[in-house]
Formats: sequence, structure tokens, C-alpha cells
Amino acid sequence: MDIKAYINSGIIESYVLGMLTDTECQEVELLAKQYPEISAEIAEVQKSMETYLSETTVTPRPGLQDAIWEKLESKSAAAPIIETPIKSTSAKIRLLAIQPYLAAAVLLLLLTSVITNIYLSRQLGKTQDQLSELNASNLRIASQLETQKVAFNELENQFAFMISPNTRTVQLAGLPNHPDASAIVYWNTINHEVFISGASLPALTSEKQYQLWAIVDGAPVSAGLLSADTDSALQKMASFEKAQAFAITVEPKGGSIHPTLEAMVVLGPV
Amino acid sequence: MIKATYTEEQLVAALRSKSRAGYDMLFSYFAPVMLGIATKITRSETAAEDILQDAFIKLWENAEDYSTEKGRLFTWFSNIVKNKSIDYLRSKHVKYKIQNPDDIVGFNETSQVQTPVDHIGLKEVINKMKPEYRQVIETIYFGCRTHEEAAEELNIPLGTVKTRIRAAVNHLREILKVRSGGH
Repeated sequence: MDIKAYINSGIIESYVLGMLTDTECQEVELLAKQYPEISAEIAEVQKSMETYLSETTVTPRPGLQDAIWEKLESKSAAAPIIETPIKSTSAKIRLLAIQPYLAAAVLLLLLTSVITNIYLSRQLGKTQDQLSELNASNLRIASQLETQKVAFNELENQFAFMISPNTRTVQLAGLPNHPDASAIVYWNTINHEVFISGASLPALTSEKQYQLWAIVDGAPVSAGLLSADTDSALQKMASFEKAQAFAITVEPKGGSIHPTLEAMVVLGPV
Repeated sequence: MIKATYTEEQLVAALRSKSRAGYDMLFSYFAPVMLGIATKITRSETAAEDILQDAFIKLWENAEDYSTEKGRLFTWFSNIVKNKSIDYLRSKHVKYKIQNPDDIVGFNETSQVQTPVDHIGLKEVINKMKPEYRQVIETIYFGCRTHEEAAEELNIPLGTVKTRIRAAVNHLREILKVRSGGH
């Protein structure tokens, strides 16, 4: 702020001569507190005006001094002024009396606040744990749902495959050494897909595995290994354009290139 | 000027004591000049006496709150007197008009306004003021004019009123400086 310009603007003189509004006066007084130059200037102008005004004096008439004093005395003798100290004393006493209670109340409020804070903070921690747990379980459910969806789609496809008019059902019947064994091959003659349901084949030792064969033009061609856990579900096997029969043999784990004909369990012509 | 001289601290102490002795001191110090201001603005001696009384009552009521930080006691007192004088004029629908500085001097001489002997020096000094500057201060202070009214009455642009007042006060300060320097 340019103090010199402010002082030179003449606002100090207007202030001292009482020409400013209350707001303007407050502004000048505020600036005077901040800037010693301004307060010094105000004091100078006030002193000059004081001297100037002192030039014109009116001698008070005799008795005026006493008359005004009597007025001041009667004013101070009036009720409010006597009452004031009594009021303030009793107020003080009351304040003193309630101070212990006040302190206790404040302390109690503080304690309550601290306890509430601890409680709320714990609750928050718990809630956060629950939330992350819920989030994790949500993810688990979502992934399960995804798996289910895939499985469902697969089943749907298999169902559509099975009920297709182009799918032929080939019953594989148990051979004399395994009369109770049976399996069903589903073969689509249009898209050539082959599925097998190995519902009732005798259990094998862990070194052995069933292998499906398609008999194409009199020669067995491997259609793949049956997985051990496909008891009820359909299992997709290798596709065949043409086949005269399907058969399942017991082979060493991992399968064989040529079937072990004496270990044939079931056989079914198309 | 004023019969005795007191320091600002002594005056404030007198006020805060609210004693008869304190009152007597304040009365002797302030009453003549405050009556002078009130008489000059209101042009009524009875009104001036009432105003002085009301101002003392106000002083007494606020004595405990007063401190030297709030400015000079003279300024506070004279502002109360001036404001009460304006209130009086408003209640009478009168506006004091100053014709020229000679009128002021004439007023000073023809009325009961007195110039104590020991203030003759000051009166001479003030009379040395250039009439145009004296008119500015008289019009504004005793005429209780706003900036707009002062501009109209002094026939100067509104924008130059403040600087004109400053020039007038500076002129006064120069004269007073010469006077105090001469002592």
C-alpha cells in the first residue's frame, strides 16, 4: 500500500473533521493500527485541530459546573448503576458454584467422545474386513458362475448334438468276457463329431485305460482315450467321416497305436 | 487556549476516577472549548449548555471503557459535542451557514464567546491563516458539511474537496509550527 499517497489524498483530514461514514472511519482506524505513519498523521491533524478549536471558547456561566455535576451524581445514583455490581457479584458466585459441575460435564463429554471414537474406529475396521471378505466371495461366486456357464454351454451343446437327427446312437455291447459292460457312442454323420458315454464299464487299475476305436474300412483307428472320471458325462472323441463299428479295448495307460484285440471289452456296429 | 495544561494521561485518569475532583479538572479544561464548538454550530447558548451536559453524561457512562489507545480525549469529547450539535440542528431543521471568515470573526466578537487573555497569541496566529483556507475549515467543521455540500458551498469540484481540506489543515499546521518554534 502506498502510505504517502493515502495520506496525501486528504482522507486523514476528512476523518478528523468528522466527514467520513462509520465504515470509512473504521477503515482509517484499521489502517492506523497497521501503519504508524498513518496514526502519527492522525495525531498531528488532531492536535492542530485541537489548537484551532481552542481559539474559540465560551466561558461557562456560573453554576453550570455544579449543575452538570449534580446531573452526573443523580445519574450514577440511579438504580441500574447500583444494581450492576450486585448482579455481577452474584453472577460470579453462581459461576464459581457451577464450575465443578461444568468441569465434570466437560470431562464427561470428552470421555464419551474418546470412547465413541474408539468404538467407531473398531467398527470401521470390522466393516472394512467384512467388505474385503464380501469382495473376495463375490469374485469366487463370479468365477464359479463362469465355470457353471461354460459347463452349461457344453451340456447344452451336447444335448443339441444328441437330439440332432443327424446323430446316430451306436450301442456297444459287452463281449463274452465282459457280458455286463456297455457303452454308447454318439456319431454325427454331418459334422462327424463323436461322443462317448462310458456309463457302465468295469473299473480299471491305475496302470490301465480304456481306448475307443473306430473300425474304418476293416481297420481299427484310435478315437482317443477315455478319461477316468467320465462316468456319466459325455466325452468328446476324435471325429470320423466314416466308420463301420466302434469298439473299446483295455490298454496300458496312455493308450496304444494298435488295439490289443484280446482285451476288447465292448463292440457295436454302426 | 486553556487555563491549565494537563497531559493526556492525567485527563484520562481524571475521567476514570469519576470523582468530583476529576470532574472539576475536566470541566475547567474542556468546558470552554466544548461550549465554543456547540455554540458556534447551534448558535444557541442554552442548547450548547444542554449539549455539554449530555456529552459529560456520555463520557461518564463510557469512562471505564476509555483508554488512550482510542485516540485523544479531546477528539472523543469534541466528536460527541459535534454530533449532539448536529442532532440539535436536525431537530430544529436548521442548517448553519457561514457566509465568510469575517462573519466568523464578527460572531466571535459580538457574542459572549470570549477569548481569554492568555490566548491572544493563538488568536493572532489563527488570524494569520489565509481566508480561503480558514473558510474551508470553518465551513466543514462548524457547518458540519458532507463532501458534496462542501463542494457546492466552496464552489469546487467534488474530487478536490479532500485535497483542499488537506491543504487547509497543512496550512494551519505550518502556522502553528512557526508559532511553537517562536516560543
